[in-house]
Amino acid sequence: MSSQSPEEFAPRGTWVIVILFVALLILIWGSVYWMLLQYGPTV
Amino acid sequence: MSALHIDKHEKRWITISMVLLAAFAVLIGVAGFALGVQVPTLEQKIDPAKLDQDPEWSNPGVREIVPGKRYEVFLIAQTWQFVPREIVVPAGAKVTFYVTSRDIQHGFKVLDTDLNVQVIPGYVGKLSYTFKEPGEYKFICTEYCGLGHAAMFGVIKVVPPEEYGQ
Repeated sequence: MSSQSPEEFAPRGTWVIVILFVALLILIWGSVYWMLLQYGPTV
Repeated sequence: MSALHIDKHEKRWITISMVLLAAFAVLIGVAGFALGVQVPTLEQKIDPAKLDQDPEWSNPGVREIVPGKRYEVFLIAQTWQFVPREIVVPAGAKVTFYVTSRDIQHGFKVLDTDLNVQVIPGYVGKLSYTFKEPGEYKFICTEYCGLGHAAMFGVIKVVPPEEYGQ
């Protein structure tokens, strides 16, 4: 039987979701940003 | 546990999200202020009913400011065409577009570039671009403006500098 209290419970897999979340955001956002930079300045 | 307690895992998500937002904001600032990728401005006001009496707008088209280096384009959007429909500029020159509408709201978007502005009657949109490579760049109306909207397009012909004006 686990000695951990509910407050000490460490959910497994959180880091995987965080990494996926960050990677996906950077990929989507970065692709649009890269496209903007490729088109060049507008001033 | 207090009412304000935030779980450490939730704190992690909040921290990462904040760091990402801050990083994106910094990158937007870099693109806008250091690399010149900016949102076009509404340069000035103009009475759409008096475009034909205005010395700059009565004869829209390309103006050569510095040969081979700087050009200005005055472009009028109206139902359902751009005037002029064809623009010729040399490659490598900085081209500044002044765009306005004679009647209702239109849009001006040059495909495969960042050039994109709402064309609002009464206002002049200003945006600049340097076409580095010769070729044909199509521009379209991006605001649904009626039955002829789909036919509202034009082309910017970017020619090699040595061929410009021939």
